[in-house]
Amino acid sequence: MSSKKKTRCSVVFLIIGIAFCIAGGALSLMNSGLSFGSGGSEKEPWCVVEPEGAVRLGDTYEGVQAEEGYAFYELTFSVRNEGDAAAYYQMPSLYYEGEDYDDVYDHYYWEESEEEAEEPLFDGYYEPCVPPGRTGKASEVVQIRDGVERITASYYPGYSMEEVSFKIVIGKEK
Amino acid sequence: MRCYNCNKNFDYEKYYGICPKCGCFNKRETQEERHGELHDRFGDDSDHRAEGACGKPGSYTSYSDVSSAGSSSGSASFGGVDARKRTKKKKGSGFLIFSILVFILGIVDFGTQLVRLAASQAGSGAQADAALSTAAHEAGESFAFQQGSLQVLEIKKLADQNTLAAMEEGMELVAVHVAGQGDGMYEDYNRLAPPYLEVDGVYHGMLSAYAFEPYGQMLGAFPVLDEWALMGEESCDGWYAFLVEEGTSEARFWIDEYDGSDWDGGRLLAGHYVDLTIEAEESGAKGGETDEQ
Repeated sequence: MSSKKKTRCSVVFLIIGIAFCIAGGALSLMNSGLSFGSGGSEKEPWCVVEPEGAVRLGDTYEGVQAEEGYAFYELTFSVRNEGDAAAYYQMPSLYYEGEDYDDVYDHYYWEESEEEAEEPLFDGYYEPCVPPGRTGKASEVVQIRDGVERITASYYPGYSMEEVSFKIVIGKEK
Repeated sequence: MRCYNCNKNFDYEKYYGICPKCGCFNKRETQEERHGELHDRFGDDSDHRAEGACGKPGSYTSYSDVSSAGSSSGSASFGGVDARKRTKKKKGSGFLIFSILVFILGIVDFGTQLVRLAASQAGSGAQADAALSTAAHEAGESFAFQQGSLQVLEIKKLADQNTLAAMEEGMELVAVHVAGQGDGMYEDYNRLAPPYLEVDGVYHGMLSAYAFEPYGQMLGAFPVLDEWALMGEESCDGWYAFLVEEGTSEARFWIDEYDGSDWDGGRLLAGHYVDLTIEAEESGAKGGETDEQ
């Protein structure tokens, strides 16, 4: 092989080799979770929520009167945690909406304001959770406008921005 | 020129070949003589070439050829130009070898990282898809757990709103008594993952040791366990606290076993559970039957 060819060949090998080294380094960083904001190997929950029912509780709930033209409903769900970390608190938070913006109000709407409410002892530990690999039950009480037949609930299964929605058919009185 | 007797360097022209140091006469040697001298010193070598064609590439004759022709007075030399070329050639080969090594290293590095990435993604997928491996135990039974063993002894109700008025209405505080054995090593991530209490399909997380400890001491559930209880320790014996609905009589205590391959516990190996019965307030409780799965 002539000297020029040899040099050219060497340079090509060197450049490709360096490119692979750089790509390998980048992958290594990805694997160790130090870059790209991926969170790397950090554990996270991944919840799959399925509706189990919606039961009308009436116009009052825990001493609170529903808005005029609204009634309280208890929505029940099964929550399957397919991630590798427990899902705490509202596991995950569900956002409700109907065809109109005011078809459904979640419970924060009628709860006392933070100034009025006194935090109970062990506050923050009353909420249920779902451990990884298991299916738990969850329920939530909301106000739904009379005549609404179905609402949409949406949530984020994990820490990613992938939103999941499902329909809830409104049931009859308990 | 260098004196052959005393090795003093001197100007041959200026001193007419007479060494200014030792007075020895030095005859200026011809190239052939110098070649011969070097040849005598280093022995015969067929690899070097006769000078003859110095500066004329491609027309060298080997020294051995020259000598075999009986020409000791020819213009043989070590062929400096050829040697330089060979050095250059060797350098070119070295660069090529280096480049190939970098290339191989790059491919190996990239391939390894790619496999690692694929394996981690496949692993997380497998963990998500696979059903959790569970193991049922009875209260008081000692079972193998991570680098040691664990024993879930009892559950007891500690308080409700009547005892601790600031608690949320309709809830009660219960505590589970757990004892464990470890290997005493700190470096093997033998952490106790936070346990759960399952009541009618609803899971409750444990109270943090920080939140529960003052009340545990007061209510007879002390010491309080946390995830570090077995890390660097050979044994532990204490309580975990949970908040459950008032009137709960049956509960399932879950504690997850990890392989300890990482700082956060590593991979989830199995969920161990023990069914427990809360018998009476303040009087302690016994373990119930094991639910076989």
